[in-house]
Amino acid sequence: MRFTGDQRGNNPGVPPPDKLFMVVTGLLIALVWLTLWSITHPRSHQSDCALDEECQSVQEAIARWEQLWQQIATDENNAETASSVPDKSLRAAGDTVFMRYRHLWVDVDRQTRHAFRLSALSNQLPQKIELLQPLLQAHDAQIRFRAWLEIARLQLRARDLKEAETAAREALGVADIDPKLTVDAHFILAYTALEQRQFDVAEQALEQAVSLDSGFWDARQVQMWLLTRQLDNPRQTLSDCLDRTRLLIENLRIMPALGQNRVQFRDFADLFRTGAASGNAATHLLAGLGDLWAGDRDKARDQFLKVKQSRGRLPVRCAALIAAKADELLNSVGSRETP
Amino acid sequence: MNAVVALVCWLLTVLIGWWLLKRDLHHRFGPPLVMISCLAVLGLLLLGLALPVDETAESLPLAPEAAFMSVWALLLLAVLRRLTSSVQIPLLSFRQALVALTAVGLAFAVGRYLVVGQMPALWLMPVLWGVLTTLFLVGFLLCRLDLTDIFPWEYAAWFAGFTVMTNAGMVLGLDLGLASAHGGAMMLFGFSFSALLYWLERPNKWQFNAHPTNT
Repeated sequence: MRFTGDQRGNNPGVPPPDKLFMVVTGLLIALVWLTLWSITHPRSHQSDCALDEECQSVQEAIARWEQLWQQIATDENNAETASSVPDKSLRAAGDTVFMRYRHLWVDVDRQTRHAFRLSALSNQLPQKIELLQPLLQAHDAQIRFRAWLEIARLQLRARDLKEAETAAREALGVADIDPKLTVDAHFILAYTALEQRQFDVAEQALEQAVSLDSGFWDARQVQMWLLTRQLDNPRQTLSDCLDRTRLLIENLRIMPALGQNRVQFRDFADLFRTGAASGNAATHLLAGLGDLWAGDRDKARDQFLKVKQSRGRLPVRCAALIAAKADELLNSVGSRETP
Repeated sequence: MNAVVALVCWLLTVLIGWWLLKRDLHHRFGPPLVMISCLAVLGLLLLGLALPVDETAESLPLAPEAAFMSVWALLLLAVLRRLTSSVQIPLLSFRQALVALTAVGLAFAVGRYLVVGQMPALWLMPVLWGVLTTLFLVGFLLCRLDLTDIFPWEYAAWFAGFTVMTNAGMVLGLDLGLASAHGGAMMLFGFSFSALLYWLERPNKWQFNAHPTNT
């Protein structure tokens, strides 16, 4: 047998050795046994929680899930959730927290303003950071925080993830800062974690960012993408699954209000519909809710019907709770109108 | 259950192939045996995806663009073979592709059962890698049985390509980060394994039958 082959008929070649057959046969038998064992011992037969703490987290997740639906039910116009964004100064889809909300950082002295302005005008990254360095020693905690945050943003833009992460952590380490101002630092941490495929870290950081500032459009958008991806994780627990679905529904409710455009419910529904090629129950429920809140009852009905038929890998009880909710919604939507 | 039937089908193929080899019939019956078994296994897997038999089954999202490194490897191998021999490349390469596709499909089908089983989370990743390695090895053996005249280098590139394409959708939750490396890690895995097997199969490394080695 030659390295790259010969087909002139005078080379019968070397047949595979006996030992290879033995090894492969052994491995295949082991694999058949392992697969049969996994089929006969599915995880769904285990209880949802093995430890007391896990049981408690499951109960809490179910309570939060029920609370969400009570809130949706009591909301008179559940599509118009602008009331959940009480801050009138909010500007949707703003870049940083300082741009989204006015008057968060006032009485900045002239020298500091000048340094930030020079840094912004400079077009070389090292020079930008150099101009910010003196501000890291400032007496005022807000200035130190703002300088670290700006460095984190610059490093992120330069795709230096480690440096961006370090600067964001430094920013979070500055004491006496209004928690609301720290949302960008959490967002940068989430973004760097995402780029490094540390999805659990990113999920926590985004949850922190969104809980501190409900009007953070960018964080919510990335969170929706991440949660949809995380819902595909076959090893998630019941409480993870329920919490992720709940957060997705909360995001779906609030995002069109942030964008101040009701049509976006339909856009998000389309997003979930196309993204739900793998078809898990949660994404069908979300697509259905998006259609329902956009006023398209027929499409919503189709999606709710698909919830039960979906063959995703959600934990069994989580899928059952979602299916039960889809049934309720299906009843409330009613049957298809015949023309 | 289709995955188990498919695994048993390949186990039988390996045993029959071994028996054919002992009786020096593998040149004649080896290639049809391998092709028929691959088509049968693929059929079983497709049936499993089409019918709601397997509760955990999902459609396989394919991202061919993620596997461009495999395409380059196949192209280079074709050039190398063309320069050094008179082998008809396309057909031989596609036969290896069929075996690789079956092996990857079976790895994912089996993996789906394993991830929903009660296996401890700590073991899951090594076991899934083990499944992938085992099925790589089985496919390699079948390629050797099918194409006794040449060493199946293309198999590694096809296998890596198919794994990366399917992993791009993170079907298994087997998050190997392969898509981001454009299959480089998987190619390294495949070709290192092939090179190891090539080295192990050197003439007189194992004395096992009366065939002239003629290398």
